[in-house]
Amino acid sequence: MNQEHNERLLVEAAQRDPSRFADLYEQNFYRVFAYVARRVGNRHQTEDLTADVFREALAGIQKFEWRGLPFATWLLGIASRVVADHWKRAGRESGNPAPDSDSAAAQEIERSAMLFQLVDRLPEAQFRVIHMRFVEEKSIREIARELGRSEGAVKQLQLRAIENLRTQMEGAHA
Amino acid sequence: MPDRALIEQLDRAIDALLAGAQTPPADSELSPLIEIARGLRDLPEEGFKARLGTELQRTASMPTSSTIASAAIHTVTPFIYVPDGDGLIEFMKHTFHAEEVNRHPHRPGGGFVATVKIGDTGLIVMADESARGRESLTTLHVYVKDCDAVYQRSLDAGATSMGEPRDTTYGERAGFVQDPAGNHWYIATHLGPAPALESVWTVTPFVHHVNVRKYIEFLERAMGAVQLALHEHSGRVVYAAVRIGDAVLEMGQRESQLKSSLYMLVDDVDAAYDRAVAAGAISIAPPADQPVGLRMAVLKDPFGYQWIAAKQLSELEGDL
Repeated sequence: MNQEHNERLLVEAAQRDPSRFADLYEQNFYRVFAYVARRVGNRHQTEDLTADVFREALAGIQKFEWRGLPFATWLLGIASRVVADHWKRAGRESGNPAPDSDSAAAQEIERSAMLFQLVDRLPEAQFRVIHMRFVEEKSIREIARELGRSEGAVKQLQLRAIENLRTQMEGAHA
Repeated sequence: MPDRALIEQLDRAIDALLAGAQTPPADSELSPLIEIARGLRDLPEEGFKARLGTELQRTASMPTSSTIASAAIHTVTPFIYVPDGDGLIEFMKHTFHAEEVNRHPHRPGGGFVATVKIGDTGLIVMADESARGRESLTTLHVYVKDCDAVYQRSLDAGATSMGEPRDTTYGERAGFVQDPAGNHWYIATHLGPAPALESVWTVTPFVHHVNVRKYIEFLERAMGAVQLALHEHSGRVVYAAVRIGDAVLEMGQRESQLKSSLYMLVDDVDAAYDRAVAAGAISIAPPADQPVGLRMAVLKDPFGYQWIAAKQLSELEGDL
């Protein structure tokens, strides 16, 4: 109830002054990114489409009306259309059929969004290893060389980071 | 104590995940870790969120900033209060090729308030003889093309060196000076193409406090700040940054020597004032319309910094 009230205040503030959209962006960025990523599976395209979703949301913030649904539902509605348009274009260009985008569970999106948020809060060394390994897709050897650490130390940081994330994810869902 | 076998098994599973192959069979200890790793494959690239946020913020700010006379005034703007305003502005012109955008009398018989622009950033300089002994001075982080040249110009203009330009470990080359009025300036040039923070303007205010985490918590509650970065070294916060509106406020963990003031453009002065007071700020002056064309309130935060929350009166008049 309180959360809904706060969100409503944020939306109204953004409708009065679009520069206040930043708060809504902060709260929903990872959610939208996770939603798009699950349906696109390519980081570059996911970034492009996530950007399109937020640009459209900012441009259309005046059109948003409260109907008892969270703001995220409206955003994910835009995301759904942006992704569908993307697959339509891709389908025409490449001949690939659009995937069944309705099957992904909302709960999975929330889990991914929370995981991405938790990565931001990892200690610097763990954060760095996770980004180099999973985003830059570097080998342990390359990471060790760049960070000036032994391969064993990098693997240990990798384990600690993932254990850390697991503990916090469990805590959040407890 | 980490189990060596677990470390190796997890790493092999991650190799398989990243190669798009089947992960090897896992026991009950390894399985949940592999699940986390699976989720990490979709992690956004570092910096993407901040870049997109900045782009949206600039788009969102466009129509409003054009209605504000001093377009270079960002949400949080350094506010400097000194007895010799002319001397300070001359220093900024000589060193940073600053431009005085406007100047208004502060009160009958003396003093003025001026907006001075360095690069894309406006600073407010309030000058009055009566400021002597109760100056409001600030630490500023300025990005320039050639920090060595600007550092030298600052010395020529009367600044005192607090550190010659040198390459830092955080991606910039920087020199440190104190201007004749007493403000501190980090004069920096990016090393390499990518700035440490995408959303910084030419000049960013920098504050010091012994407990940066607590200060960030306060700024989040009081001003809707959003943490952008926090770097620690040996348990000590060496650098942090928050975004407030379209501006960035940087901070480091040490005792502050300067009693800085920050001017904050807000949509609703009364609401901003109430929120800051509820979060623990002390009221210096409650919201009131000022003859200089603003609705304004003055607050002191629990950490000693003064905030002037303001809204342009021209917009108010439009509403009336």
